[in-house]
Amino acid sequence: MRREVAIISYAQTPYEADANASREMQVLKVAREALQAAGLKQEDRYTVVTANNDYLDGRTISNMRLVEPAGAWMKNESKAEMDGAYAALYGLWRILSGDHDVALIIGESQASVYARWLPGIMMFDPTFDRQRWLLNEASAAALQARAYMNAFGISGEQVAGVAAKNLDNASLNPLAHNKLAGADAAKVLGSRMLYDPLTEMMMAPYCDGACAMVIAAGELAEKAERPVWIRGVGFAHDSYLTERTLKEMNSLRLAAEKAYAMAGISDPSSQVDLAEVHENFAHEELMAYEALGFCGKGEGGAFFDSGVTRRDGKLPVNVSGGATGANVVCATGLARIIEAAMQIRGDAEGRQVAGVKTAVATGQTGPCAQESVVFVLGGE
Amino acid sequence: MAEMEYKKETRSVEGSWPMEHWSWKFESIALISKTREAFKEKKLLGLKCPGCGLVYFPPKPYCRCMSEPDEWVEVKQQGTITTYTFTGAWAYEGIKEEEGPAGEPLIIVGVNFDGSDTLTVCTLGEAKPEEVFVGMRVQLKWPENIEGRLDDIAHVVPLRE
Repeated sequence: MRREVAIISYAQTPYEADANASREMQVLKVAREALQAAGLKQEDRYTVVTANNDYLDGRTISNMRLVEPAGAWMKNESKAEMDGAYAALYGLWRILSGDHDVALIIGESQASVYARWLPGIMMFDPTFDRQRWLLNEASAAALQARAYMNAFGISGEQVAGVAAKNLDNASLNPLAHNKLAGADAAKVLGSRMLYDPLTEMMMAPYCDGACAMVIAAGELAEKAERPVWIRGVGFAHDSYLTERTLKEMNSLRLAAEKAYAMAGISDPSSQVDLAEVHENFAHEELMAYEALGFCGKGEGGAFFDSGVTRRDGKLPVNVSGGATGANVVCATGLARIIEAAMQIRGDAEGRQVAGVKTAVATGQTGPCAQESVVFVLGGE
Repeated sequence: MAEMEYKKETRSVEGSWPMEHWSWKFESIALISKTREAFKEKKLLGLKCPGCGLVYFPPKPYCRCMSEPDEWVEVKQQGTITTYTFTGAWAYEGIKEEEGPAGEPLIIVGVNFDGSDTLTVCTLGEAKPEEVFVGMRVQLKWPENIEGRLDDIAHVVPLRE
């Protein structure tokens, strides 16, 4: 990387079904907390990138009213209308350009204020698919799940097991919205069928919340207490879901390859200590194991069965509960980066995993993980 | 949470919001229109890319290789199911499944029609969920009255050879 850039602070709201606060006040809370933790004041020099969405916020230029709460007054701010991991990417670029040393990254949305199922329909091709009313986020994910499971002999129990693991992990995360201590595959399989093979408990439920992170280079990064360095980053975009294979996550694979090359990682399964994966549906986590190189192609199910990705395993995945635990559109991927950084710093309290030195975090946008971002983070 | 203040009178403006066809200024509309016209002759028309040879059905005016697919080719009405899902008479959040009577599963399939390189999302009839499999051969089932609508090609059934 052209400059060494570190995550030096972060903040998250609790994630809730119906927060008793406006989006502006949620953003103000996390932005102020993250800046304070970084030792920064509003009048200090930094740049701001937010992740939010006009459609979800019910207004055009949805970041317009976030200028003040996001600490962006009289500063250069812009928004990524995608997953918050993209906001982190754009903030990183501003620092790498040399024009800025500090960036405040924010992701937010409030599912309680929009019809939760509608954005999942509105993202599909309007001239054909949307006319047929067959595709929504859940049915599209089910088509992806079936293609993957059929190609590699992945069982419903394995997919359900991932959801159960994440629901159980979320029970240790006080910020999570969707949690169930002791959840098992049978419980997940027995929940309401959405689109076969996906049941309700395999879906990451949308909720309200915001998170913020400060990244920095130069003096502020060097003087920071326990900085978490961004060792590598990669991102890639695939075609619309009907024009690509659904049995593999090729954009995630490519993004990971780039991030690993930058971070000097040649054997992810032994060099990565922990991962936070943005999985909108449980099967996506199994597919991500493969795309991230934790196991071979088609081996996601067996890799899960080995227990490696449980929180007491060798490579825990989604100790926070992942997107299953809390899914705030435009913040979910950024929350993965923050949770991974918390693990490296030793800030993860009841969900802390011992000895995390290198962690991977992913974000995704678009139906069936069309667009993927990967961050590789490291401690001192 | 505090209640919203609702006004007794709201402002009315005349206008229309074409929910069914939308008014996208998008080349695909013209392409889809041509495809729909061809339905009347029981033909499926796809577009082939001059750059990489991919055949798009439904047709699309741009390719991932950045060429402009412009060669109309006939796509077969038989194809292979590459993925599927099914659902019952329930509501996914606000969505009521309108097709199929209560209790009768709606089977959604991704069909790769022979001669095309993309998936067409259709519904499968004349089969039970437990009979569907990836690799299953299917054929288009035209409605009795073909009107040149996208719904004309909404349904496939198992291929009877």
